[in-house]
Amino acid sequence: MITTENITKSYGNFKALKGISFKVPSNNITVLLGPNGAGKTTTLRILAGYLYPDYGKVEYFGQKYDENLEFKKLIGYIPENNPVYEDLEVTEYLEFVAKSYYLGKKEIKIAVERCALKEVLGKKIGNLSKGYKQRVSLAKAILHNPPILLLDEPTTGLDPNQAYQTRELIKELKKDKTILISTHILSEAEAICDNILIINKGEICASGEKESLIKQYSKNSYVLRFDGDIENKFIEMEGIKEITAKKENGETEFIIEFENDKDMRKDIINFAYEKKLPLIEFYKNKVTLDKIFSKITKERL
Amino acid sequence: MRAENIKTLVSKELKHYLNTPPSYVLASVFLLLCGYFFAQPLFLINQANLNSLTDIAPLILTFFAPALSMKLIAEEKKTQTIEILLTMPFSEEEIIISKFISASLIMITTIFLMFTYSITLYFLAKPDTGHILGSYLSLLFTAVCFLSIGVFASTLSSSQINAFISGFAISFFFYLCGKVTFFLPIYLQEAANYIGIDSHISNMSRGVIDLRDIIYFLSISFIFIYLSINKLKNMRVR
Repeated sequence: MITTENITKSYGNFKALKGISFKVPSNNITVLLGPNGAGKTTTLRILAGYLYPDYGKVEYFGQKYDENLEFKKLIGYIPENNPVYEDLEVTEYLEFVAKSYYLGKKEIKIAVERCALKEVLGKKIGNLSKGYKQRVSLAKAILHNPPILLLDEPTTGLDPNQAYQTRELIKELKKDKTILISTHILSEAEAICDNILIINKGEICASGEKESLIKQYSKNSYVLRFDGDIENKFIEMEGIKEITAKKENGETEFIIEFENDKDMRKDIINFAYEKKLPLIEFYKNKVTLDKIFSKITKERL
Repeated sequence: MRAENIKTLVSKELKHYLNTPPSYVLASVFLLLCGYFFAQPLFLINQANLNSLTDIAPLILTFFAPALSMKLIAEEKKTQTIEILLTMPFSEEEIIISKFISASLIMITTIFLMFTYSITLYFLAKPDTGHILGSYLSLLFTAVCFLSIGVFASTLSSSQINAFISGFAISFFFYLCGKVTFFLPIYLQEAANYIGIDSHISNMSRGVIDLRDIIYFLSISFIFIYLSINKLKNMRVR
């Protein structure tokens, strides 16, 4: 569990973080979501102990983070842009990391197996593909089996297969770890996270479990598509809040939003049947993370 | 500060040096230049001593030491690997001291290879052993002193070129200070003579090991290492 309280950080006159407070629960993947320049990297750098906050405190499992080197052993961290020592071989790098934490070959072997690095062990990191470099960094981050993982945009620059593999590996790790990932890729966040923190302009705008956040921003809204040019008869239904109609390619689309939270699917189908409307497509309009993100970040503009 | 951490970091830094060709090129150029200045008086005026070498070597070191140390922190900043180091269980003191030690080890090895020059003197004549050992000792102290300046210069920027220029400028100041005393007012001459590296080298290369000279070299190294540690700490506060 990571707890932060009122963290403030400025670079000269620019306030990167304006007193943010949040909690990251254990055995979960929490995604720190925000547009570029929102303060994601600064937040992660402070949590990893690379930068010191101007004000505020960070707690790991109830203990206040200080400059004690022992605290650094709780954290596995991949910085933004995935920096690596390009002139070292994979083995040399992992041996260096293992020695730094007073660990041996056994831990290196486990990390190598988990990150599938066996075939590139003797190669220089600089000669590896982006995907392998990412795996090397992940192996470095998990080698000392830290209870906390902080990953700054871990799949940026990877091809879809590599990104999928990295996400699967991260999902596998969540069983016994507190994981905080920063990203601005919404599909990635949706695919991987249990909890969401949305940050914009140095402030936390929304936080909570993914499902409850989606529920909070969801509307009781349905999409109906009809063949041909159809007149809007749904206005006759009860509890309608808003109807938008769109005619395109010989079809008519209605988005109907109801005031109440009741499931209206049967009512809509019955209504369309009674009115003999040529229904060709019908579904509940689900709120996606990108809609929530866009709504929240635009509200703050 | 843990010795085990320093050992781990020094071993990593040495791998960086040994895995990259520029380190070998740099050491070879240094040995060639010093070899030339060693051989010149030997063949031209039949003098079996290291005077010519100890005169010119500090000037060569004002280039060589910053060139060897310019990448130590600047490269880590540029490639952002400094973020990896500072979030691992190492203190700033351990990081700076390890980098200084590893560069010093490469420098000491290079200077050690120069012993082959003086061995040839023993085949040709009967050189003064005190002078030979003193000369090498003065070279070692000067090199280590300039390396500490190079490490500090490397913390100032993320560009290796800037780090090299700053390192050279500071080292050259110490080199020049002792050489221009006669241009200065009398009340400044003694201070400039002490600050300049010249007087301390000339004592040692004569075979006179004075504690004041050793304290001088160690103090400069200590000051610049201390400044480097502070600079690295300040970077995290920004």
